Amino acid sequence: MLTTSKFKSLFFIAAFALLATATAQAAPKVGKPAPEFKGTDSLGKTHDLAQYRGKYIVLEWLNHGCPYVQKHYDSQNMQKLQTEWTKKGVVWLSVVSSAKGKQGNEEGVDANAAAKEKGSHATAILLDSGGAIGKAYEAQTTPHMFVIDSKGTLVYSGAIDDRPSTETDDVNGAKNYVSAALTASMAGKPVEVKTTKSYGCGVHY
Amino acid sequence: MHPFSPKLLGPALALFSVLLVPLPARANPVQSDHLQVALVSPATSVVRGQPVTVGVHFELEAGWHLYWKNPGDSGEAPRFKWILPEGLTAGPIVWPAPRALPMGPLLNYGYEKELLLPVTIQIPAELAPEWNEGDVLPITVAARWLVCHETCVPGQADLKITLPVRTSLTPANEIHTALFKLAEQEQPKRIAARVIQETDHFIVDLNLDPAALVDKPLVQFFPYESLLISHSAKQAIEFRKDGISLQLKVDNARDEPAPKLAGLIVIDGPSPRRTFDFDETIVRGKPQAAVATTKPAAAAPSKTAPGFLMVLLLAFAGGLILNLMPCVFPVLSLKILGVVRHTHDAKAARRDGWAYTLGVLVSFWSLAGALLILRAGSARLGWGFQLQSPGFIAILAVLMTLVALNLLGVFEIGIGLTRLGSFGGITPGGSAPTPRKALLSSFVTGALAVIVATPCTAPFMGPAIGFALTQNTVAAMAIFTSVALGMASPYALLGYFPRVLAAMPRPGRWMEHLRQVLAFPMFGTALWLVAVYSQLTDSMTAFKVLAALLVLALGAWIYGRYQQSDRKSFLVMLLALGVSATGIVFAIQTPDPSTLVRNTNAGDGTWEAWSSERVNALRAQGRPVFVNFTAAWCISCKANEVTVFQTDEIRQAFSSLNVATLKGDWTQQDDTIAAELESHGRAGVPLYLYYAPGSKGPPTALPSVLTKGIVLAALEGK
Repeated sequence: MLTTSKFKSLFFIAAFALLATATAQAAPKVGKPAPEFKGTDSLGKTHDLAQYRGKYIVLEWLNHGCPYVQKHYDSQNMQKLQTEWTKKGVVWLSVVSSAKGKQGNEEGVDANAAAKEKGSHATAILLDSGGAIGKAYEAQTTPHMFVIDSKGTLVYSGAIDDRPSTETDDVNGAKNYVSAALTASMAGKPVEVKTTKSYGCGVHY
Repeated sequence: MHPFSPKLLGPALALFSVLLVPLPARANPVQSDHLQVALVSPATSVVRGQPVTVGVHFELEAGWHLYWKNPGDSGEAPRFKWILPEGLTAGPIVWPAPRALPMGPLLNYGYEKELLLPVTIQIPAELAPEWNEGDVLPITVAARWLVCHETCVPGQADLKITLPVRTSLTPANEIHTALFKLAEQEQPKRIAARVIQETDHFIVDLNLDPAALVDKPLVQFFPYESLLISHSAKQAIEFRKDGISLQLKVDNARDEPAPKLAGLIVIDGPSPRRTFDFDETIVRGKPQAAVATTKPAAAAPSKTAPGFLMVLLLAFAGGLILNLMPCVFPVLSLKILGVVRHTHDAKAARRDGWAYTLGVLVSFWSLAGALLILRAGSARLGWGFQLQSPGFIAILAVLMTLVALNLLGVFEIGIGLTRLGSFGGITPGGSAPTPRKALLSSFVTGALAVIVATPCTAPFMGPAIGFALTQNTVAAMAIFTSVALGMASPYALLGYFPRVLAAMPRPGRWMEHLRQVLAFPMFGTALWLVAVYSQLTDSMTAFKVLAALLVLALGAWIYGRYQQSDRKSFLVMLLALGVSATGIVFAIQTPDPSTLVRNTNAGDGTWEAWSSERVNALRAQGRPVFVNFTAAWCISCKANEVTVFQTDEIRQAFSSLNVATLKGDWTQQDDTIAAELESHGRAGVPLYLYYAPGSKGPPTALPSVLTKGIVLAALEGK
């Protein structure tokens, strides 16, 4: 029989081993559980991965000062995607990871104003000026898109489409990887293009 | 963008002038946002059947950059669309070697200041008959680019040059010839390479001309495509006599293994830079195969890679010295009690020593294993990484408080009224506990000692662990094992020296007092941990941890009362456990992200915040630069600060020699600092670097334990 003291000792040992690994931050990888995130949106509400279990999530890295983002907002492409997919129950989170004082940083009021001006239909705009969410997902560019399925698995990571440019016209006829991933995954089919190199401006951590 | 924005006016006007003015063999440069661009050619005419080289020439505003064909983590390469008379064809862009352009945690590949992108235009022998001798042939390109600084601005221009058709070549334009020659010199030489993938790393072995490797120049690999290697990860390089071995981190976003690896190797020596490239199939080898390829370096020891046996010895010595470090002392005091218990029982002392050694080993292995696993992921961590996480620090503080309370006798552990003092192996009655229990407690003491000791990267351990982290897993674990054995050796061996044991005082009543006294260094440790915690969060959050520890102490006290009372009430026990649990939960809960300090690497009055750009800028000004890499949890660093940097003598020396003092604070995880430490062969702080004024080479690394004399000698160039 184990004595309490042994229990305690074993607990300590186990705790050390566990704690050493608890700091692990798994890198985002398609096919694996999406990294945890927790953030506050422009209205002060908090969002985390766990609360949306059972729903599809799109993470969109956003910086309205970036010409690549402007391409998708000026052409209404992004808003159309947001409308289409949020109607189908997808949680669309735009994430602003520009650090305080860096270009693209948004505070609550500005973010709401910008979202209104651009006609954003995102579920929420997460303000990530500390870069925690961006770094957890290793978001490199604006835009950088991630699709998470209802089981919390990352099913797509990369560019919004196959036309890495700032030209608004390129939106027409481009293959949209986010729509493709959502369509396939929601139909229970494997996602054809799972990982691409995202394109755009660097995230201003 | 609005079609009539003033931004477009500039290029538009420039274009007009190109079209209206009689044309020389060079377009008027087009002025655009943050750059000037022109289509140029060394040729002054074209001859049927002979190719002609043209190039788009960018001159950039300071601080702005354009991108290479693989832009890296973000950005976009310039694109050209050629508009040519019938029959003419444009070849691909001949890209000059890029430079690595860091942007926070991201890395881009591109160009600053100036860029020439040459393209060869084929002129067919059967040029359409309408082109006669003396007619001018228009060569037009629609160029699009992205120019970035912090922000990015897309740009475009239609550029045109005209070249007269001649029957024989006319003299070249000298200015442009020189420009194109320079670009040509940077064209890579194709070489063979061996590329092996070891789970998450590519090992690239290249044979190179030894002349190119004199003085270990900067070597950088630029992949031709993305999603192959992690751009921003540190590229580890080993120099051999006749080549190099590069270790590149695989881009973990990639969903299936890459078939090939191709890219550019740039050797930054004296200009011009030397460039090579390779395009090889990736061999997926067992780690052993890769070891064989990287081992030649170990046979020929270099400054960055000391001989392996030497490293093991250093690691052992480092472990030994850890016992003298201030951060391990409180736990050590527990061990002293254990030693005293066995003063006259060598056999038990031996058994105990080995249990302690095992504890040290297991704890080191867990930490080292965790570190290696995390690094195999993407985290850029170094030794001491545990103390960069507020949650872990809080848990340690809880643990230390409990140990201290137990030593004081506030509560006991287990059934037989034994105390955590059984770590030291004593029961209040003075009788030894059961041997098995004593062994377990020795084991736990060993494990605990390691956890607490890690922030004191002892002087010998810096290079050893730094080296360990660049090695394959087996070698790394061997090094960590050596450190562990060094640390445990005094106790493991004590039992074999009965005379030393006999010289120890006899057990007695004094031990009870000693144990209670030892509670105070434990409290001290908890206090220090909370101080570190407050550096990572804010003072209010740290205060909450202290309050939670108070609640925990109350819980422990109630539990102690319960243990000592004759009529044990189940409710009292529940209350004790409930209060303790409340304290623990509140102490270790994850702090609100908003309270986390964003960036601990900020300067203060005396020290400017470190960045490699700042170091370069100061060196360019010819100033001597002293860099201090430190962390709030690094006790050795703090000791050096008090005994050396904060003395008038050193302050005066710094100011009279006009030394720029920079501080890299690694209290929080910081990839840039971790990378810099790694590049100097270190895995932790402290690290002190001195760049002598006007020196070009690598800095002098000062020892981890500083004296005023050492710093003064370094400043005086001795």
